[in-house]
Amino acid sequence: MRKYLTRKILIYLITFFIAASLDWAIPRVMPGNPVSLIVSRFAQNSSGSAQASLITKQMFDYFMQAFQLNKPWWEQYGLFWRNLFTGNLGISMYLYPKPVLSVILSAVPYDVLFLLPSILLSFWVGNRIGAWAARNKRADNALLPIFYILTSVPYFWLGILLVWVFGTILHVLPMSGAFSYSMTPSFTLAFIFDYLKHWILPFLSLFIVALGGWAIGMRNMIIYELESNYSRYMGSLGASQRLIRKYSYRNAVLPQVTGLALQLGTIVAGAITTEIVFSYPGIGYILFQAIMNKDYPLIQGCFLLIIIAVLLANFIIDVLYMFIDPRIRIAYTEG
Amino acid sequence: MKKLVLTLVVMLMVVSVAMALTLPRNETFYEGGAMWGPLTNFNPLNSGNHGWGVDLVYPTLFMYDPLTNQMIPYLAQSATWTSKTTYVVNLRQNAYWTDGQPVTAQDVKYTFELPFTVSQLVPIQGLQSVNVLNDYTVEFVFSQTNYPNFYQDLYSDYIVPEHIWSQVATSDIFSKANLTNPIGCGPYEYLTSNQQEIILQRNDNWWGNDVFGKPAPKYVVEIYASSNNVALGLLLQGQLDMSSFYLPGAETLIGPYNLVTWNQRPPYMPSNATTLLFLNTTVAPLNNAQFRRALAYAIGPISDLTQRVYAGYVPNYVDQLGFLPIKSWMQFEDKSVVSQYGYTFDPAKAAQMLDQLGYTKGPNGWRTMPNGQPLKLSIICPYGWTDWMAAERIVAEDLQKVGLNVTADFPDYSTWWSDITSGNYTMMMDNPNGVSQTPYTYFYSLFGYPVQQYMYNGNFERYTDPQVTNLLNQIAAFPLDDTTGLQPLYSQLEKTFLQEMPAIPLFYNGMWYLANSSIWTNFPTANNPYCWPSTYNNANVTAGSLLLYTHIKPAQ
Repeated sequence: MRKYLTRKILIYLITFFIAASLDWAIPRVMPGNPVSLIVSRFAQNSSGSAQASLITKQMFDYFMQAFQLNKPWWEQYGLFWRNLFTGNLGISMYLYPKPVLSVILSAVPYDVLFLLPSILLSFWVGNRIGAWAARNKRADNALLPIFYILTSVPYFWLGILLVWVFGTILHVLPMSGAFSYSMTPSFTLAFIFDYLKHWILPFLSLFIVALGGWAIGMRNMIIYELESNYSRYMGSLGASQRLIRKYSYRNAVLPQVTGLALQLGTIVAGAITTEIVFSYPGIGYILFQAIMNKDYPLIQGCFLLIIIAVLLANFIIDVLYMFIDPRIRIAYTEG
Repeated sequence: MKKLVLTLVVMLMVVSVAMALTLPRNETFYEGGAMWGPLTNFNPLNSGNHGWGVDLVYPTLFMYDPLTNQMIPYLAQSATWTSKTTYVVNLRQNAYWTDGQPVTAQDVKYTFELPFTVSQLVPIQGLQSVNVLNDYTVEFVFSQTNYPNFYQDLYSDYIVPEHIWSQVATSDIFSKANLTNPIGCGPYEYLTSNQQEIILQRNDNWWGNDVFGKPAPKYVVEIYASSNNVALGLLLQGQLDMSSFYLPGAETLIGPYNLVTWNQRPPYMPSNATTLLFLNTTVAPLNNAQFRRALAYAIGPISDLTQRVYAGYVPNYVDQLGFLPIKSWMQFEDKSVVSQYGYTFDPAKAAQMLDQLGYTKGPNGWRTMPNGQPLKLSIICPYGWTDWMAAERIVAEDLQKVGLNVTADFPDYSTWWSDITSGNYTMMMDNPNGVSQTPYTYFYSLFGYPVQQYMYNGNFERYTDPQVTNLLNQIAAFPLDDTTGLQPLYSQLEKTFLQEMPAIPLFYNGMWYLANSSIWTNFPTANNPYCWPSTYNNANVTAGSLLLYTHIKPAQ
């Protein structure tokens, strides 16, 4: 047990170091200078004098210094790690002068609250339906094409369709935003109810599409497991169908759980297209804007969160594996 | 246990009813299109980067109305030039900050002298000092007056309270977020903001209620939408009262959904800025003025470009100088210069000019350089600006028709920006600052800025001509209304522009404006032009929003 965990933790630490270094380096190899983009906002508003262009040049130097981009790369890299350990993610360039941490903290809750339920529920429901379809020929024939259609539907297209049907035609659900524009976030019943009303459509658009993928995966795995030697052997020994199904489900769910880990890790990246379609506040669209604006600190901050979340989710799944797969447990405890 | 849960739920309900802030629809004005991200700062000194609504909290000395070409006194009561270099402003004596302090001459002095100590702020050209004559009289003293520069600052510099801002360290003034209880003296106060919107609340005790009238909406909300489709849906459902988003399809929107816009028939939108094709004058063959003029003939001031791209939103012509159809600019257009040196849409003439210059067609059908080298040009505009991208393709086609090998390219915004600022391009599309009080701002932005390694402010075509610089300096020294003194200078400048063609006007950008009058009525239109239909605080016009809110009325 301990051996398993220490090895895993060591691997995760190395992965984190490499991933965070890449996170620092990749924005910096993109062509173009982010500071010239900030300066553009101030420059284009100036009223036409030779002095203005002088100030713009000064401002360029000011921001280069403020964001420490005038230092050699190894110093910048050192500062990056030092700031990381002191919890300082810096100031956003695109959303200047807002600190990166507060940009992320004010956006991530919206993502987590609608992505986590949609991923977990679609995982659970999808696997159930998939497993059921695998052993019911008629249901399989009817459902498989539907699963394939669902899984190949783009999120945003389904999102637009849902908005059109429920928002524009039926007028039963709001079309955009995470809450009514007449409200401000507060911990009140009125707000929570309003929030849930806005939550349904974005949730459904992700839930329905993801459902198809999980179901297909599960269906194929179950069919494979039911055809495998151990199932046939159990069958020939006279085990009940129920028992065979139980064992094959436990085997089939393993690769699905790995997929879930990856999905969960990307929660903080948000769902960019869904956010745009529903004008839903979240980190996805902000990350997209950060990349478009070469906002080094914000890109770094967002990806750092993704790295941590992916590693954390994988770690949790690794631990879970020991409970759901006795082979792993035994390999490390008795090997 | 059950009882405990029940009690908790009931308590929660009681608390929640007490705390919830819900804006009543009939007292709230929703608008959108001026914000492209959640609010980051409400710092009126962070010019060009602060959030929407700053102009409603921090008034300026004057407002400028481009429809009448008038300066409207705001915090100022009146003002006069006492000499060529001294300008005296009398302030209103009843203006108060929301913390109860009076707005005084000291605040004005503080605001205008801040750039002397805060290095990121741009001082007014030639301003020597601002002197307090008494509590409500302030005097601007210049070493040499730059009128266009100064007037623009009079209506775009927000006055800040000295007793608040002098507490802030000089190095923090520029980067201050100013989101906790900003003290202003405008008709609205900053209430709150979140990931979706900014909410301002009316100051019911505003000193200006007697002067300008009381604004109608109790709350004004700027909505931030990540896509124009969302904005369209909200507008059509009446959840958005006024939109500054670009929403294509006038014919299918305005009539069927009973929307209000500026004109009843095409062009529906007022023109707000001119988009030009900038030609990099440091690169061959674009360094040849005759070549540039040939391009102008191939593109022309009248074409079906706007019809194909904007379908009736903006005029189907563009002024040959690129002047906006507003009085302050057009009064200086010299018709005789334009008819003598202007150009028309004449591809045959363009081809003939190119032949004469030696850019003849090679074996592959494209024109080559006079020495036989291949000639390849590219137009760039940012990817994702869909209307501009469509226009760019049409311009490239126009140029291909006269035998030039021109491609339409769409780098992402940041690449486009780094290319145009460093001069690493051949042709590109951009629009200089739009509506203003004088065509000087347009010309200065076009070719006034001195050429240096990186051009951030303008003169992207990198045009250098001492005579032009000289003319601009002379113009700046004349009062804006001195038409007799200014006209000969402008005529010369216009002649140079048409002879040199460093940039070719393509089309007018509209002031995108659609309103739904189901909750609020009496929106500004061409028949009821009480204000410029803009809610941007960076649209160079500060008169728009205040007058809008004092004129609209509840629908019932």
